Amino acid sequence: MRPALNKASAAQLRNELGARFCGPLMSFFLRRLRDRSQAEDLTQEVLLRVIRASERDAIENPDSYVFKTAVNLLKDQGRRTLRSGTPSFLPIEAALAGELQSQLVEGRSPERVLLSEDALGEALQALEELGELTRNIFILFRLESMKQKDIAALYGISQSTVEKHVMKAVLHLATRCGRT
Amino acid sequence: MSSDIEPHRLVEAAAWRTRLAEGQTDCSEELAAWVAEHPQNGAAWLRVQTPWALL
Repeated sequence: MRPALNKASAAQLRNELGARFCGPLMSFFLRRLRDRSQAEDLTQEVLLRVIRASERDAIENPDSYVFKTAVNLLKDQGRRTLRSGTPSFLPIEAALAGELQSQLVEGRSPERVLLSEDALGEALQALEELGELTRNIFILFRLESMKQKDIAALYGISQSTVEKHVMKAVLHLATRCGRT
Repeated sequence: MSSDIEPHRLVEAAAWRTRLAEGQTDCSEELAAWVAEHPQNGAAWLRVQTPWALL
């Protein structure tokens, strides 16, 4: 991102980060939490952590760093939710609803799976094992809901290449941590 | 690669997962048909879907 910051430039960085990441981060948290104020708090916490981190060291890949921080905060939130016993995560997406769900879920509760902190940690570890480009493309596609054509334009590569990176990440996650 | 599910079924499941997420067309019925084709297809889909849903 940039060399370590002095305090005077921290406010400017906050503004830059806010302009760039506030919307995507709010979308990311709102998709997974039912509470707008919680999503706003977590968004601000992500930005604060990124600013603090940038005061210590340069951040090579801000997009990846921001969303890795967001995923970690969401994981922490999941742990708090587990302790409080009041799940607030959104359930698995509609693709598994109805017939598919009854065929495939085999009695497992998606919410139970979703709230398994061990499984989430394993998935995050598997993400770390991917190459940087594959990981970043997957994060943009899965966590920021960017379309493949937009990711392709961002990186100057073809849409089919983006699709291959996404599939590679999906397959790696399934191989590493799809067993339940 | 997972030993109990044929690798090509996992690859197909990953392709389905990616296609569904891109959301250009509603292909959930086609996915259901693919799942019904072979018992391992359902297992492959579940293996792909579980970590996908975590993130």
